[in-house]
Amino acid sequence: MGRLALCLAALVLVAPLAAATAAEAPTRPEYVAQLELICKPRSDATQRAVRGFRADVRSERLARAAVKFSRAKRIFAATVTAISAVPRPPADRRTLARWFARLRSEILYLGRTAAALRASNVARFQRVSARFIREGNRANNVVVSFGFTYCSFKPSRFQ
Amino acid sequence: MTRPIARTSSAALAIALLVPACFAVGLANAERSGRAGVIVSLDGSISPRHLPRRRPAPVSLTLSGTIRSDDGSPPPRLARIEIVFGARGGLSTAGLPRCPRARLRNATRAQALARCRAALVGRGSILTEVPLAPESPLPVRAGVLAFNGRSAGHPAVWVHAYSASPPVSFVLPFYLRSLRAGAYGVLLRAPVSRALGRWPRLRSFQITLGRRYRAHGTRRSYLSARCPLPPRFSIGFFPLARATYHFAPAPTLATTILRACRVRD
Repeated sequence: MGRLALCLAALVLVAPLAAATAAEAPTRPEYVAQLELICKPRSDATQRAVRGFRADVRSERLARAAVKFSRAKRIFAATVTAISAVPRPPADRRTLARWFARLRSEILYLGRTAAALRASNVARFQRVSARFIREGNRANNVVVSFGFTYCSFKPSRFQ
Repeated sequence: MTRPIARTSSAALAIALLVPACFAVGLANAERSGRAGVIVSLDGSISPRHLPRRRPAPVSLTLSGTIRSDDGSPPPRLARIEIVFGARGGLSTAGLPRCPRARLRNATRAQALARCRAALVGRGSILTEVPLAPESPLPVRAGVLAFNGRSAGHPAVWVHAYSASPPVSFVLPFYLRSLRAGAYGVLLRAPVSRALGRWPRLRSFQITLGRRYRAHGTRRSYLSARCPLPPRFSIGFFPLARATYHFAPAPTLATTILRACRVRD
């Protein structure tokens, strides 16, 4: 009897909480709009941070290119932290979990790419940046039906 | 004002270094993009992938794409498709025979080859659907042949598609323009819905373009490319192509593909 009362009490306490959470959960278009608002300024900032990166690599100014890539990594990591805090649509939680896992790999590869450049290790830079691009494409394919613009991976932002 | 591509006999599909990368790690999957319930993809490759650093070498380009909806329903009608590739030129038709578009109309594959074999620049296949019954549209798989042509003073590619069963024959015109700005050198534009008519809906395509030929005593290539990497680099990624799918009335989706090249000195 006591156990039943406890269960009922728990239900009374939890049910409104669950209803509130469901009410707060955004729809997919709302979620995409929220994320795009976060990603747009940071995408622009990334492009500014890596401006001239391609010319630096071509001219073998690898240390300078490393500084730019490190800056891009910091912006990217901060963006992933910011967007992962946004409540997710319940129906897309599993898909988004896969997407965020890929994005976290991207942070790792960005860091490794910058490190390879700092060390002037061209072979390692070539290897890691290939993985960075491949992982980015995989991340895009996970959320392809979401229609992201600024939150999707575009290698051209890093050139 | 665009520069006529047909006369740029030495033009090269100059490959722009994007991010130098490892050749061993390929990008096997097609790049996809989606919006408003429509998902498109683009895949492609260049052959050979080992290319000289400075001098352009003959190549062939394979491109394939798909169109679908994310819930399995019929996607909207594709109004036109634009494909850009190469950089600073990239395509030569000097001395290459041309085929008038009218000669391909209502032709079977054998007839098209008999009439225009000298102008052949590519082969492939396409899949279209004819929504006679909206729940179960009739798929039509057709082999395609690409022929060198000319339209309004500019080079063009006539993509002739033929299927014996059900019997279907049509010509999809791709109009070519050279691009002076940006990462790409050549634009191919096809008014898909106007060419296919009211019923067939394009679902996928695959085409390989490339042709080596002899003109005025010299060996030429329809497409050529190089892999202009910095001295210490031997492998690099480059933006191979971008396809923009314009659906009627919406959406418009663009997909860019990056592929690797390796320096051959």
